Amino acid sequence: MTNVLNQHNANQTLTLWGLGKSQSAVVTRIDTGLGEQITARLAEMGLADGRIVQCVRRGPLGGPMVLQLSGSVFAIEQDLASRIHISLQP
Amino acid sequence: MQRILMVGKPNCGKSLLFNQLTGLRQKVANYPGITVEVTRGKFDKFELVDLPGAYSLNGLTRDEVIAVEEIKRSLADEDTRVVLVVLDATRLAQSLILGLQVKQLAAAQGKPVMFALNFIDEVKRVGEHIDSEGLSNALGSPVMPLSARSLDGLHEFKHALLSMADWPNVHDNKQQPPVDYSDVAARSQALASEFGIQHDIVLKNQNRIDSFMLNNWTGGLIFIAVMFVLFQSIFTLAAPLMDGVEGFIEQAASGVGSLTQRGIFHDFVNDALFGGVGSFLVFVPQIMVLTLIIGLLEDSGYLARAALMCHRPLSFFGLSGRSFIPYLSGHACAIPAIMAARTIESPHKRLITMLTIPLMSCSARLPVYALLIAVLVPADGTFMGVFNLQGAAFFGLYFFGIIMALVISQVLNRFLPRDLEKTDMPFILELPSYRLPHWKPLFQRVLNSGLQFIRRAGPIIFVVSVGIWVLGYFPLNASLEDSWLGQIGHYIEPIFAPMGLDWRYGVAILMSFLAREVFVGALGTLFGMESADEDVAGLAERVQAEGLTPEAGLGLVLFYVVALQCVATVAMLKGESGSSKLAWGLYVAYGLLAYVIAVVVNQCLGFVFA
Repeated sequence: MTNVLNQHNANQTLTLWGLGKSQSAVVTRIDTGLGEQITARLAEMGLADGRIVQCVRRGPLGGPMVLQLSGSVFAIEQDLASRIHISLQP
Repeated sequence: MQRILMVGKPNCGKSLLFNQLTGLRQKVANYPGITVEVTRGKFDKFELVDLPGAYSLNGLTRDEVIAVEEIKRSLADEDTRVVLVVLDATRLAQSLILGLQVKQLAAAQGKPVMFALNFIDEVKRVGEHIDSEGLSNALGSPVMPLSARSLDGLHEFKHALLSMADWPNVHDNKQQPPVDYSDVAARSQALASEFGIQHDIVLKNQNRIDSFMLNNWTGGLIFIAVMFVLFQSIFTLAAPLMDGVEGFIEQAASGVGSLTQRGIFHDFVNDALFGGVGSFLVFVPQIMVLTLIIGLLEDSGYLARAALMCHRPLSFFGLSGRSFIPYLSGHACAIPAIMAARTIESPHKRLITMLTIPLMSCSARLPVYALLIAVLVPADGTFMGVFNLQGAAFFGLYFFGIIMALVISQVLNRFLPRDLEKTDMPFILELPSYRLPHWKPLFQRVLNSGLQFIRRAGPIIFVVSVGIWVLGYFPLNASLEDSWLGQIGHYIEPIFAPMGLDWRYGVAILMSFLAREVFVGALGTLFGMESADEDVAGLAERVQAEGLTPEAGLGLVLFYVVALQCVATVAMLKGESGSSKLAWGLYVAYGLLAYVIAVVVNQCLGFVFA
């Protein structure tokens, strides 16, 4: 029981970069420091609060991760992915 | 002429549709100042204008920002009758972002919009169907399902587009609600989930191929294999074409030469025009072959994967994964490569990439490498009994250029002041579907790459060739050693002495500071040989006989790897960076660095050999 609770707490601080291959998650918060222009663009791509993202694969050599977002496939780098907060889907 | 505008996101099949509508006659225009590639062609009695692709009017990269400015400008133009938005039916949500934004903007200008729903054949192939009438009602503009590749629905589409352009439903200006993009993301999602297809089916194929292409092991091996084939074909495919151009110029020169009397005019036509300008035309086939291969890689979808794989390693040097494509193009010619750097998201990384592109061994360096390798490396030598030694030397020079570029990138990344007002854009890259490239847009690109190269670099090369010819020809009836050029050579000889070179090399280097490809021809003239461009082997023997030391030769060839001897590149850098000081500063800096390397190599190796 405590284990589950801990996991739940851990999920609160999870970022997109922590998502493993084939895992899905819900976007909970996007770092406001990214600026309006980038946030707007991310929303257009399908990265906004409440949206579901799926990690298709982790990039080779620790490079950008590959995501499936509203029917398209995008690669994004670590700097950006670690500023997008998620919670794992039940 | 009345105009139809074409807009759409990258990889939506826009250029093929453009080709299908206009045929093969088209013009790529470059606007002065900041250059945007806008392609124009004729469709019936209208001018069809293909604007550069963009994901959204909210542009992130430099090329997107320029594209968006151009879209907005053209939309406001009076001659624009219809705006054609090309949608990718397999990626409806992403296509509709730009589609909905452009639709709003067009409505505010009172311009009617038509949507072309492309790749409908792929939708059918997976057994899906898109209700284009329903989508049309929801969008408030006609939606025409079609495939520019299989030609499905193209006939009906042409007909509908023409009748819309003939009788556009002209709205009254300023009647429309103000433009507001805030709900575009939500609306495109909603429309895509109502009318779009099941993504997993379409993406399954792509993801399966990617599991090889982006795998740590197989992906790396495929990458190396692709690069190997690419470099091989620059030489093997381009070589016969280059010989063909050379032969043609020789024929033309002897044809024209026999028409003129001996004298100044004859010499001018023969040496300045055919000798100088002709030797530059020889590079056109190589640029076209490289454009063809890069085009194949891009249209098939592989280039995006290559950029993804390079991102992490290149980040280490302060570059982006997108720097990979400009670096690759730089091996044909720095001019299109500097243009290609526009796709780099971060202004800082873009600048570093542009400043280091000139270190890639462009095709203008090839004759210089060929001559000096022929002088320094025995032709029949092999390395470990397998690799041809001269081939290995070529590879070594290319590699040296790339290493220098990475080292200098790292240094620039540390010390170049960052523009704090501009936020650094993150690396976001769409991985498009794998598709078989279509020959029509490729053919156009290849043709245009050759024409653009001639148009950009031609005038400068012409002026330089004529200038050099004048300096070498006068005073009249003097030998070359006594000409103005020879006098300058003797005057500057002390500068080149530490490199282990005499006045003739000095003159040839000096001449090649505006365009490096003149080096071989100039050296040939200085060694008293006619047409050295065609007889590199003969010149190499002469140079060997005159006793060029190996250390001086090595220093000289490394000098040519590093020095930025190309006025056309400086002009391009000036245009793209907006700073004349930066461009000429780089010219001087690479020149000095090349000199220092050549002197150090000559002195150190000379000491070792002695």
